[in-house]
Amino acid sequence: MHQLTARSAGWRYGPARGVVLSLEKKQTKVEIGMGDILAAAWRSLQSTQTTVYLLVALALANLVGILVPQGAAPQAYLEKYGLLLGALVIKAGLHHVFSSTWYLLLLALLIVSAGACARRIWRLGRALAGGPSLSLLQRRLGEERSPRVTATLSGPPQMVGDELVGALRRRHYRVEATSDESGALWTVGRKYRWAGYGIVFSHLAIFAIALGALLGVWPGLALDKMIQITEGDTYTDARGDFDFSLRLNSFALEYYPDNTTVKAYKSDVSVLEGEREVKRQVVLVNYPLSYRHIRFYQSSWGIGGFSVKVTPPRGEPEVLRFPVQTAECPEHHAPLYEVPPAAAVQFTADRQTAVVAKGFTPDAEEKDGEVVGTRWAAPAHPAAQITLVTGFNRGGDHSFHDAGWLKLAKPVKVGDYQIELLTVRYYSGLNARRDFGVPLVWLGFLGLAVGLMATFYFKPHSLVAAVAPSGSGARVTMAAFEKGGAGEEKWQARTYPVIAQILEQLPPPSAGEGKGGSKGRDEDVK
Amino acid sequence: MSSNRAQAATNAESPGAERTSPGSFLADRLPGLETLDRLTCRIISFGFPLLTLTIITGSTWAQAAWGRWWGWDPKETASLVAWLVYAAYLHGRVRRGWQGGPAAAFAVLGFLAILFCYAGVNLLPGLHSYGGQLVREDGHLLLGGFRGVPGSEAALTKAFMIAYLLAALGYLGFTVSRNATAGRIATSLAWAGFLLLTGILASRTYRLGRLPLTSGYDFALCFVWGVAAAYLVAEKVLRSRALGAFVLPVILVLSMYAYLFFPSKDSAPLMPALQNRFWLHVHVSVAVVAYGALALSCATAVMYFVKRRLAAPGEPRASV
Repeated sequence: MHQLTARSAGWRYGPARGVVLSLEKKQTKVEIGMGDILAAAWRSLQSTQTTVYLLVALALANLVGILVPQGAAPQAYLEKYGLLLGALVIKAGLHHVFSSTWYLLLLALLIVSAGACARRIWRLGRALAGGPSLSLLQRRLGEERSPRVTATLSGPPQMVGDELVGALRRRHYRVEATSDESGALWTVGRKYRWAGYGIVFSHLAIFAIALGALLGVWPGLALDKMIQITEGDTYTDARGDFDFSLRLNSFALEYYPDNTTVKAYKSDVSVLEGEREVKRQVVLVNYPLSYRHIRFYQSSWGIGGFSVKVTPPRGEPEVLRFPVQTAECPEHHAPLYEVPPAAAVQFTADRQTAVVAKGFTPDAEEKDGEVVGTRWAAPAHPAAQITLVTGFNRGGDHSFHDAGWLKLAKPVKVGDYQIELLTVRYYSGLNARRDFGVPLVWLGFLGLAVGLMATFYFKPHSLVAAVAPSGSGARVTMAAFEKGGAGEEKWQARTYPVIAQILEQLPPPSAGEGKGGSKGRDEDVK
Repeated sequence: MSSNRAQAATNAESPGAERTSPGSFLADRLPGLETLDRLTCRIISFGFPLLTLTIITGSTWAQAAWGRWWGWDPKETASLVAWLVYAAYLHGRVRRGWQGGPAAAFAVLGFLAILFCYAGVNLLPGLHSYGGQLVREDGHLLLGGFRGVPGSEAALTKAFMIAYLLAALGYLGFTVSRNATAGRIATSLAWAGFLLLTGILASRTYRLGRLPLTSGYDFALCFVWGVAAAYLVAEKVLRSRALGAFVLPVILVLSMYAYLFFPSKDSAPLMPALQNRFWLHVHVSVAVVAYGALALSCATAVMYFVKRRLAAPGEPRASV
């Protein structure tokens, strides 16, 4: 057990400082090689002091990552912080802290330092689990200053010793009993030895999590891709990240009774191998679609387009589909939609009539006779601004008919034509993820949780007791030990019940002899 | 170093001591520096694994909901900051020299990080933004009030806040006067307030059919409940009311925050990402206990500083 004290003394040292100092002294006289510097750095990493610095530095780096909005366009920082500060933010990479080299380096250093401490942590864990040796416990029990319980019990020492062992076993102690040359019986009970290794597990866990995180972003293995599918369309990956297709059968927003809070985003998705449907599922947030190691998570939605029904004076009605795209407008919180110019003009099949879509809004309201879009993003009252152009292929005398803002299911007569906003088509944004690191991360989380709980909630501790003959009875001296020392209450809670249990099993003490359960810091009882 | 101070404090306690400045008078009524230091460490040792579990369960849930177990969302990152600060505390503590002032400073910093994670982040955009809306569309400022809850619950909430206000005064009175009756009254009031709060949460649970853990106000109530529970447990375990004068004000401030900054006291309907009952309940419950314990450790660390300052006003700061 000398090792434990020696090692716990080792925790106090600051080899880093000592080494750095001596290096500085050397620098003036002797040439120092790369090897010396590396060795010194390695020793620095082994010190707990360095770990503390690294943890604090990482905390500060994270704080910067919270306070400076991450991932915006460089222009935004110049506008927000002014030219000088903005340029500084961008130069130092503070706009993408978590993927910057210095942050990753800091993270790597912390992990390497955990590695550098591995041997020490392992030894500490083993020492904690092993507990103090019998010889050390014997010595400590004899020391004046260590608190102990002493009781004189009636009954032969052997019987008291057996009861002691029994009582400890009943309280789930691992018991080791021996006797010395003076005839005293020594009993050591140890509990929660396994918890000593908690410190090892919690540190090992860091590696598992780091490795899992690395696997999760490893190019080629990991996949993290946003895909957008408009209702009715089929998505086939152009880059070939996966060779099956997805069809969005429908997308729906479900509301709570208040009609403003979204209850669910539901994407009805089919997986297609070639033309064949192999799987169909409604994807919800919290319920991804899983297929061939790829999971598709509901991540966004929007309006992908709308369709307009045109009924000519003679002939069949025809449906024309228009796509829409969002345009960011700083004044608006909700997205603004526009019809891409290339697709804004669509002809009917006979190429005699064209429908021109000039605008689209998911939620229109009338203000002073004008139709304007609200900030509401969901298509509650969608409207499309349409102009009908007729008379093509007839020698150029085509005419324009402004249909104004068409509303859903409200057909409008324009000249001889009838025109109607038929449907609004949603798109669903799915996040395709393949992450082989996740099981490793889970393992790390488990190790971290179990390791920390073992370390902090289950203290490995030892009870040592000596039973020596005393008159016609036996004298029991007992003490509890734990690394770092336990508080008074804990100490009592561990020793007193054991004594009480032995007392229960023994014949009652003869008059004036036994007295149990008294504690003597400096002197024992009778 | 700290033992020197402890010595100074005991000197002041001795009957013959001349120093009866209000500072040393109050300092005598606080636990010893070493006790406070140990206590802070004990509470953090209890809270840290729970904080870790909070982050782990949140992470597991994020994987289930969004497909990424870590996304550098401000709330995630702020929780990591708190975790790192407490990890630094525990590592620093392994070196035996790291006690007293620096340790207490880290304990306070750690809880500030928790508070930032809890409330500060609501001011920033992110996935965890459940902050209340304080300004109406027309610019009218909304503060306080009991919109969205039945009158009976509003009355219970008022009673709870009054009970805690009186309990805080009681603990303060007890700390100053050492009057056992004042102490017993304070404890009874604290228990009464705690039961009232439990009743409020129970009635919300009954109305919702699940634990009330979704709106900002919900969680503020749970946070208050966690701190109050942690305090009452500590009072029982330590058999001491010494922490009361420091913890009760924290509870009051948190309740005022809950009252003022969430004009709508209704429970929010579950957003799609929150519709995972298992992780919702596990994640938030663990967070409540962790936050409660860590709030307590912050209070003991603050007590450490107060005691040190009052016990030896003229003494130069010792470096540790």
